[in-house]
Amino acid sequence: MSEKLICGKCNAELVPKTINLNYLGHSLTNDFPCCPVCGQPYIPPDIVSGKMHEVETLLEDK
Amino acid sequence: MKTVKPSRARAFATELNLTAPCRNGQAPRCSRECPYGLDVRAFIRKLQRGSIRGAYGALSEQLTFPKVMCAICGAPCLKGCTAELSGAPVNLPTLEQAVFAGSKSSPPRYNVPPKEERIAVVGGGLGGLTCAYVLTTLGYSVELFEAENDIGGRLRELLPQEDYLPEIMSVIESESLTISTGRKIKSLNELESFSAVAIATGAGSDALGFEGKALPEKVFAAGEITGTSLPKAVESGKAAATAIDAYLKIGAGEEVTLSSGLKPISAEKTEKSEPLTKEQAQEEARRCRLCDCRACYDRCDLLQHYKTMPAKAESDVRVTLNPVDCFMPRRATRLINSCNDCGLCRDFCPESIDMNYMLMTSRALMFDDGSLPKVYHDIWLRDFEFSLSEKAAYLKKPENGYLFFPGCQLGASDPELVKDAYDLLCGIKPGSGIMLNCCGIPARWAGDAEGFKSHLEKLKGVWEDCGKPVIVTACPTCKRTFIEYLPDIPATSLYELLAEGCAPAESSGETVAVFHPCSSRKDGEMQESVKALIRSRGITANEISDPLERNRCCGYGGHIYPGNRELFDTMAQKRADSDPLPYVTYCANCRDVLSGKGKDCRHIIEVLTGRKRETSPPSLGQRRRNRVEVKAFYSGEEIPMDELKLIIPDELRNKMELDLIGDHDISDVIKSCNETKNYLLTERGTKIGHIKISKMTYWAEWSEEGDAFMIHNAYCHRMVLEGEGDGR
Repeated sequence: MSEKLICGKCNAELVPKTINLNYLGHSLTNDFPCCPVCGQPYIPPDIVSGKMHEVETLLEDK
Repeated sequence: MKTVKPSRARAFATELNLTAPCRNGQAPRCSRECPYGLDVRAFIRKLQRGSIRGAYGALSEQLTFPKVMCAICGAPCLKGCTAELSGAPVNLPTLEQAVFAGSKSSPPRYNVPPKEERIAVVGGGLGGLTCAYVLTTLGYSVELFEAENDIGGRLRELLPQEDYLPEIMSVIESESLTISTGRKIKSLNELESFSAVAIATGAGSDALGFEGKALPEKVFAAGEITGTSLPKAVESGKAAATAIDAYLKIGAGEEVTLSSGLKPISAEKTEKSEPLTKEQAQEEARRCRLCDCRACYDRCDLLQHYKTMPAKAESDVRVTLNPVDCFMPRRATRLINSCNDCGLCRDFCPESIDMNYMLMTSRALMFDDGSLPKVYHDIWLRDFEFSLSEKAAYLKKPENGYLFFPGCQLGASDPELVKDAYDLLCGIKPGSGIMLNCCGIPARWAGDAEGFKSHLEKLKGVWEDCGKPVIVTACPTCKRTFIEYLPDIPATSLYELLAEGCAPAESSGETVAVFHPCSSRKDGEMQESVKALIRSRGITANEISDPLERNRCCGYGGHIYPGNRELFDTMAQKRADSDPLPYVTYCANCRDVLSGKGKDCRHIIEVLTGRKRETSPPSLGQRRRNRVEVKAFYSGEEIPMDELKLIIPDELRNKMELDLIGDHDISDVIKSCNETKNYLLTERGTKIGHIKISKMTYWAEWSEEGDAFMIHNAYCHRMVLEGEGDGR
């Protein structure tokens, strides 16, 4: 994500951070832009419709 | 102390054995019913190609006396024919008669070196004749003794002589065979010069004094004397010949004791009819599907999608309900969630195997133990909840014993349909009440058995409180739900009431195909009523031209979309393409799904009022607003929607519909994020925020335009962010 994003609450620029994602009893980690103060994350739409959707489908069939 | 709840899913999986009688991959049922185990498919294939001679060959290869045997079998194959489920059974006896009429028997002749041994066969019935014939083909000299003046045994009672004697004589005729008729053998002593003796004197005879006794060495039994039926006497005659051959070659033989007091098993003559012509026989033969049974597969989009058959699907379901972690995954989770709950598989299965029950029960068990992805039904359960909420649910008690129940989707699809339908009902039943609610089927489809049961109890309570009126449904699924799950409640459809006494109008020249919803399949009265109503408007009502496409689910049933969008799309497109004529249906979901695929599809209420909707199906957000509009119309209340004013570009709107994102979801995201300031600011001046609603996480990107919000993007996912839930 090349665009600069600012947290509306903390007024801080988002930085990459590793966060946990859970689904159907499985836990995964990935780096996403997050607010360095409050931790508010951003998951870009192309990740959601791409890789994340693939993983969701995979876990549902597991 | 912590108690471990026994897994109901595991117990169900362990006992699951529904598909044991499945005929796929086995001999067809007609062959299994046939007393001769005839390979019917081999016979039919020849006829389908128009080869009468080839068909005769297929019979004579398997049957010693084809014409005689077909005349006395009683045609149990007719009972076993799966084509009967979609009309009449394939008439195998008429096909056989056509083959006999159109071909000359030319029994095979064997050139076997003659053997020295002479064998006596006592009894000229079917068993004795077969035994004698087989022995001559093996090279033995045979003398057959018949007490009566003619051979035939019990055939004489069943058939005219011309129907058996010529064929039998042409088959058994051989220089090695001597037939002595009118010669009664009273004792074995008369046959001492023979190397072996076969007794085939028929059930009820004294069997040369051996009735109820063990047969001595070199004496064998054939035919009905062994307790077999007349058609199976041939098989028994062959077995006796084989045993005699073995005895004479190697001296071996099993000791046989004859039963006493045997009576002939009644034999049935096959009905005779006018022989078909070659062309007629070919046409009739083409009705045969040469099963390998595919009765369910041919009608089930799910089985076709997974390219699987019942036994394999059951095995996958078993593993899914009882998985071995890391080794055997829950491989059928999506399959279990792809059943439309239409029941076609069960209704067309010759063994009534209920795959529908297996899959819906499995879904409920997985919902119960938490292994079914809740996201598959989350949106529909929220929709269900909304239809029961103060914003959408409404009740006006009836004054005349009739309560209109339009269902949750008719008003969502178009408020005018509910208003028109209710007006039509009040026109014939003034004082009818109206209940805006849901029959609860979304809970069943989600696998929430408890939720479904509790909703049904609530419906029953309201019905009692209203003075136990007749429930008048507009939706076939609602009617089916009332009839199947609330049998105490009298339920009928609006269409049956409206069709009473309606007469066809003069033809307008318009013709439509009636798209009968899957839930109306067993409801002949509703189907006929809708057709009568269409004809009352001067429109010709045809059935969908392909019989296999009738009463098939449009894709909506079972709420499979979130779990299997590909299957939903395939089904919807196939149904839209089933017939080139415009459709008329009586399910709001069918209408919306099919018109969403570009099909000209009207609801019967539109036909009756002459008002046709020109727009595409409403969005998810509009569906909620429509429900509120219907409630407001009847209650006279002003009902706030609590939704922000959104501006959504068409392209994004289409994407939202595909992803099942409603305006209300996006409105909730913006409201929540603005309230908590949990949003991100972009360089473009827009805001991006997300919230988790129930099981889904929704994201929106928006900017403010006066009192409205311009939506730039909207998307959702099933995975749950850290700290926002466990993702189950």
